[in-house]
Formats: sequence, C-alpha cells, structure tokens
Amino acid sequence: MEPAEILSVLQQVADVAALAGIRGRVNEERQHFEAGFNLAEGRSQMVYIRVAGKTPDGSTVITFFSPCHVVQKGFLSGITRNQALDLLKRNEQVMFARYGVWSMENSDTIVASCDRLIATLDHKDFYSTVWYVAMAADRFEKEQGSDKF
Amino acid sequence: MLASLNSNPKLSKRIAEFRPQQHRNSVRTHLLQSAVRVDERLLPKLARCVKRLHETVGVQDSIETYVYEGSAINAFVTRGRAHLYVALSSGAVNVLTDEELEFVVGHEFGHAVFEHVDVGVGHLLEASDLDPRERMQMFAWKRAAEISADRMGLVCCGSLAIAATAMFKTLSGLNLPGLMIDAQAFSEQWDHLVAEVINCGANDEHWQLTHPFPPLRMKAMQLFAGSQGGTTAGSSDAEVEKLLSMMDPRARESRDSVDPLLADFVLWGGVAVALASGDIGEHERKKLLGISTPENLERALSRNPSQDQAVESFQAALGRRHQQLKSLEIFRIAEALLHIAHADGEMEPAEKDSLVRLLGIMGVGPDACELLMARYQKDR
Repeated sequence: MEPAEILSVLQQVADVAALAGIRGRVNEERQHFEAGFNLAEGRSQMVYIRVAGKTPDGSTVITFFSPCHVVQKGFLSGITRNQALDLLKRNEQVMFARYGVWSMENSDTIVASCDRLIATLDHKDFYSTVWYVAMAADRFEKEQGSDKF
Repeated sequence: MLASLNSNPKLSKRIAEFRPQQHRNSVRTHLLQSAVRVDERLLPKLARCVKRLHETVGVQDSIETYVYEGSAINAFVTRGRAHLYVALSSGAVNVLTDEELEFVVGHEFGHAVFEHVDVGVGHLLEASDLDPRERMQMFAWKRAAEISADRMGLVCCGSLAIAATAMFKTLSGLNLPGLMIDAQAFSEQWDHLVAEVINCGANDEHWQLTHPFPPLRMKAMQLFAGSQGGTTAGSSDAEVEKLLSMMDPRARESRDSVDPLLADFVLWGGVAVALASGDIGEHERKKLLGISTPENLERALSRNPSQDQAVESFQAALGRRHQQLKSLEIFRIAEALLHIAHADGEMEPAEKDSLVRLLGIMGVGPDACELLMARYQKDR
C-alpha cells in the first residue's frame, strides 16, 4: 500500500477511536496509531494499530498490537521451545487477542495482537479490542516482572 | 472521466496495452454469422435512421447495422477493422418507434463519438491484477460513459418524452400502442429508489454495475435537458455526479462532500443543531445549504419544525435504515454536525447539548462527544 493510503486508513482509525472515546494520535513517521492506557495497580500499556494489508476482496485489515516482552537473539539466547509452547497454551486461554512473536534482526518481541477490518470496525468493538489487547500484553509483561511497555 | 482513469498509472498502462486487433478482426465474422446485416433494401426505416444519425453526429467511420435475435430491448456498438458496427436486438426493432430507435441508436453513436468503444472496459475488468478500488474506478467510469451516451441519444431523438418512453419500454417490457411517457412522472421513480438505497445503506453490489440504475439515467437526462433551457451544463454535471456517487463507494468516502446515503441524518441533525440556539441564523443556513440541496432544505424547513421535531425526524431516518450505521458513517455525520454547530465561529452550550443528544442516539457516549468536540476545535 502507498504511504498516503496507509495514512488515510490510520486517520479512519483515529476517527473511530475518537467515537470510542479513546485519546490517541497517528504517528505518521512510524505509520501507526498509538494510544496509552492506565491499568490497575498503577500499571500502563501502550497499544498501537497498524495497517496489516488487504484481504483478497480488497478490504483493509488493521492490527491492534501491544508489545510485552523483548528477547535478544544470539547464541544460547532467544525464545526457547518451552517459551513458544507456553505462548501457544496462553493463546487457548486469552480472549479477543493472541500472543505472537515478531522477529527483528537482533531480537524477538512478544506481542499481544488482534486483527479487524477497518470498513466494518465498530467503535464499541474498537473500545473492547484495545482494552483486551492492552490487558493481555500487560498480563504477560507483569509475569515477566516489568512494566516497560 | 477518462482523464481520471489515465491518472492512475496502472489503469493508464492497461488502457494503452489494450490491443483490440483480434476482436476487431473477428467481430464482423461473428456478426455476419449470428445476426442479420440490414440496409435500406431489407429494413428501410432502421437503415435510414442509422444513416441520418450517422451524418448528424459526425462519426467518421463507415457504419454497418445488424439486428440480432433477442426479445429484450438492447443494442451495442463496437469498432471493427474497417467499420463501426451498430447492433440492435430484435426486441428493440419490434417494439420501439422510429423516434425511440433514434434515442437508442444515438446512444450507441455516443459511445463511438466519445471514444468509449476504444477503452476496452471488458478486457480491463477481466485483468486479474486490478485491485477492487481500481475495479470500482473502472465501473464508475463505465456508468458515467452511459450517462454521456444517453445525452447523445437525447440530442438525437430531440425529446425527453421519447427518451423516457424508450427507457420505460426497455425496463417494463410493455409495448402498448401509442404509449408516450411523462418524463417527469417516470423520473420520480428515482426519488423512491433513492429512499430505498438510503434506507438499505451502503450496498457492496451497486458499484459492480456497468450501467447506472435506469431511474438514475432518466433523472440525469432530465437534468441535462433542463440545463439546456436555463441553468448551466456545469451545474447539471455536478448534480449528475451526486447521483452517480450513490453507486460509487469511492465517491462517498470524500471528506469534501456529504455521503448521499447519509443525507437525511446530516440534514435533520443539522437542523436540530441549528435550532438549538433559537432561530436558524444566516451562517447556519449557509452551512446547511453546503450539506444538503436547496430543495431538501426548503422542504425540511417549510414544516417549521421545532428542535424536538428535527430530532424525531433524525431518529425516524435511523429507524428506516435496514442496517446499522457503521462507525465511520457515524463519524462523518458527527463531523458534519460539528460543522453546523461551529457555523458562527463558536459552539453555544445549547448546540453542544444538542450534539451530545444526537450522537447519543447513534450510540456515542458523552466522553467520546467531548473528545470529538475537542478534536474538531483543535483541527480547525
């Protein structure tokens, strides 16, 4: 997708977010929408929304995501088999989100995420989706003993 | 419109790549095999009609005319190696009067004069690499091309009533002796269709039609005929563009204009917001005219509605919808209403309350309303 089209979709995301009463902003440089959430026990979580691509019929897909843990890559490091199995087990229990691993050059980032179609995105659904993704990410991060994201 | 297709590099490339030679080589063989070629000896009236219009519209190519078997009223034009071929269904020749045939043949000549026949829409739509928005653009162009061809048909037959009768016969299948249709009465079908389309909300199938809804074509011809007698052709074009936007999701997305499918919400919501501070002021009236047509605004205000009645009409519009408003549609309504509320430069508390009430009807909470208002003020 062309950058202008991506920004136009992100603007629509910002419009629906406003209808949901969620304050956030479009980060043009990083090409995502971002919003911060205050959770229980003084914890906080950032949720981002990026344009994921298009379905075969041309509908635009957006992904809500929230990073929750970074594992550096290298000899004897990175995500272990057990950690990966743990994520799969968690996916069976978590509601309205999923855990996954985004691989970068030097690190793997564990994220909670969820996909939606922008054209049919409902503001009430938007509200619950960002909160579920934020809570799923925070739960994992809390178990790792941090609150970086 | 063709320029807008060419402004898309991919479509422009595809149009340039269209090599109709194979089609042009075979089309005459196909017609000679499956239809009858007619001239003044076989069907004198039809042949003379085609000849007369050929000279009138100034098509350079020589013409061959064919009639093919088919009970529906139909026709097409295509370019061959050495001729332009105009083909009419037997239904068209059996049912239409000479004058009505002039409308149909004139319409087909329009496709030739405006060079629609050289774009190869069918070929382009078969190309698998066009994304849905590009396909939408192609279909939108095709529908606009039909409107242009209708105008040529109208000029050729010289009468809106004749064009209306031809269209009426095509649509109804009726062939009553001496039938002459009142164009005004027929075009009113468009208003009923608009109401239905609005109540149904966005329909993903409409954009895939190659021809505009027949009542839309009738309305567009009426606007064109009207523009010849007074108002400018430009304003007729703008009106027709609005009509066509009902079938084009891309046109409805434009932030510069009101989505016609949301017109009732914006009109009644706008009136409610404008009445919140008492009478509708000059600035508010101006803004309301920007989001509605003068006729619709006058119709709404002629009942001298109170603010509560305007809100009731807004709710009634919501009740008529067969499907829920999408959030992006709600946002566009909210944006238009904010525009009205800020018509005189500031939003009064009563206008704010009215906005919160209307947005609440659409399921937007008070906190979200505050956020929308803050965002609007920040962006101004």
